[in-house]
Amino acid sequence: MLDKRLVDTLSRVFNVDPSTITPETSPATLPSWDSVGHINLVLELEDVFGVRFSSESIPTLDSARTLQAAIDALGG
Amino acid sequence: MTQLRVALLSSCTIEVLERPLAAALRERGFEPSFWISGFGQYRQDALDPASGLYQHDPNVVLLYLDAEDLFRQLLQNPFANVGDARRAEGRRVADDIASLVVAIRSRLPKATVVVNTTALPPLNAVTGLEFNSEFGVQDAVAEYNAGLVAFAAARNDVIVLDAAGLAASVGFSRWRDSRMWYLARLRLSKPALEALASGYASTIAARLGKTKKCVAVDLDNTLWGGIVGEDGFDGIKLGEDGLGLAFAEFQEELLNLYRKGILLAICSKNNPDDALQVIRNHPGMRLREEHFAALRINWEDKASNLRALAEELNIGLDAFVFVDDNPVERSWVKQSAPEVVVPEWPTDPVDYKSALLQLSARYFPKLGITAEDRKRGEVYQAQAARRKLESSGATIEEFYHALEMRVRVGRADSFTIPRIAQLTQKTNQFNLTTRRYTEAEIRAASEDERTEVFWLDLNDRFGPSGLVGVLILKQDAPGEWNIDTFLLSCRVMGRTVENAFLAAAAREAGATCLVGEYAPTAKNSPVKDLYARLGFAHVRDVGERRVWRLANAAKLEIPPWFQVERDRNGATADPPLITR
Repeated sequence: MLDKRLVDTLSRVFNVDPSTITPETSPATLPSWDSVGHINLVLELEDVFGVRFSSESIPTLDSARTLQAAIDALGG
Repeated sequence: MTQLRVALLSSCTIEVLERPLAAALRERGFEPSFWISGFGQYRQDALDPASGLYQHDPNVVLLYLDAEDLFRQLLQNPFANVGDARRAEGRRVADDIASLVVAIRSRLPKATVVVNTTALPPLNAVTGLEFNSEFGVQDAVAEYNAGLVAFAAARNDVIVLDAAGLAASVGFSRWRDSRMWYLARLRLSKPALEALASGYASTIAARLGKTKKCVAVDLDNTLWGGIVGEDGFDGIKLGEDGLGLAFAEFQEELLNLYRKGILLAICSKNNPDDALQVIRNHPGMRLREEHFAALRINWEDKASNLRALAEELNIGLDAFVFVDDNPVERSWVKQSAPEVVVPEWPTDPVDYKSALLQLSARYFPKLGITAEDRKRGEVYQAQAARRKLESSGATIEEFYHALEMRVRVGRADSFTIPRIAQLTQKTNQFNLTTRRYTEAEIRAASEDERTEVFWLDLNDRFGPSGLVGVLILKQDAPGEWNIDTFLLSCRVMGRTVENAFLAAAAREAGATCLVGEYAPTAKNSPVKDLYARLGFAHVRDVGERRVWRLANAAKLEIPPWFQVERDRNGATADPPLITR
């Protein structure tokens, strides 16, 4: 289950309807989720959840599901 | 919304700035489209005439250069350079960047280029040695910044954004995000991106005249601590003691806004006698009645009072920022006068001054101060006296005569060009075509043989209004002139100044026939019928624009209540009231 704030942030950053976002949403399904989009997303999520992703984890956060797991692991 | 083409070039990754910058520009009334140079490509893109930079034809070029990129070798081994060699390196880099800016400008003659000061990390390999030995790095960057600033100061098409100041304000350790550097070669953290976006957007807004004009302030618990109606003249907090100083220093910053040419107004629910006694006589007051362009101290609701202030000052509601400590009043104004900017306001008065400085940077940015700006407050006071005369019951002609108006008309020169450009940027109501021009464009027009750029300066018995009118005429054929721009500052509207101005300028240009057009905007309906009133005949419509023609320009008359002084090239002993 995706946190509503995660869905909202994905929808806002990539300018897509929240209803289209699923755990499988990834750069492969969203063309605007490119490398710049990824940085925007990570920085936004850190503000929204008050967490800080490690430099090692940032490149691996390549789907809504892995983002949710990383946020949960950081207690966000 | 004003369309704005922005080019972004940087010494580091900068694509991530687009999102916050677009948001900051939209907030200020721009609809931006971006072209962004590739990583490390700024030099090639600036020098290659076929690059995307020039295809985008930007209005604004933002060149963000970071000290850690420009002085990378110096930081890698700060022990390789000593003393003068290091400062020479700073000057060399500044000269190099200056020549790059010159190259950009030569291919984009209408664009404004924004460069930036920059800062090195305060914590580095020579910390401690710096300023105590021959080793250091900061003086190289200081030379670079000084060189770039001197270069920009000599040109009106290059503006400096103080990014070093932004970094200090954010705090250098928060300005950087090492993850972003190692993962994306981005030198900026999220707070840095936001500060930079806001700084760029305010700079552009200042350049293009999209700034607010007036701060309307509440009194109780805003200008002073406590409620004068309850705590009394002696009971309010204001002055040198304790928290009274927070209110006094807040007032001092409001006074600095006044000195910058921003209008101050009072919008307060209060007993006027109590409030005026404090304003006139309280020893702790830094602001006095003369600093306020208009006052509304009564028990009316504040949205209505703001509308009344807008009408009295002859500016739009959207030119106001409203400051009130009371969240209920703020929410009422937000709801009932949504054009007014109503910022959140701190609950603790110790934060008032810094909140105001942030508002000042955000809504009242300026890139220069004209003599007009410095006199604006007084000019509005005189305006109130004129209004009194107008309502004294005479006929309108008697009123015009009683004003004892004296106009001077001259051609644009280096003294008047900044103010002329400012007027084309800011004037909305009395503006027939609403063409916005930069100083460079006005200068070019004034040097063009087939173009005349006239200004008008107005004085009356209540004092000078300053340079308040601009007419740009373009010659179509001998004796035939097209009115490219015709504008008057809103505060001299309704005094037939336009009749005198057009008549005097037409004579000066030797015009026998004039063609003018009215291009409607959301704000210029007051001049919809101007050309009809001046005796022009409607000849055709081009889209929404109405085109008018006056076959015999000699028919234009200067109304008898004006005294006209002609001013060739602005070079008389009595220059107009504008300098930089």
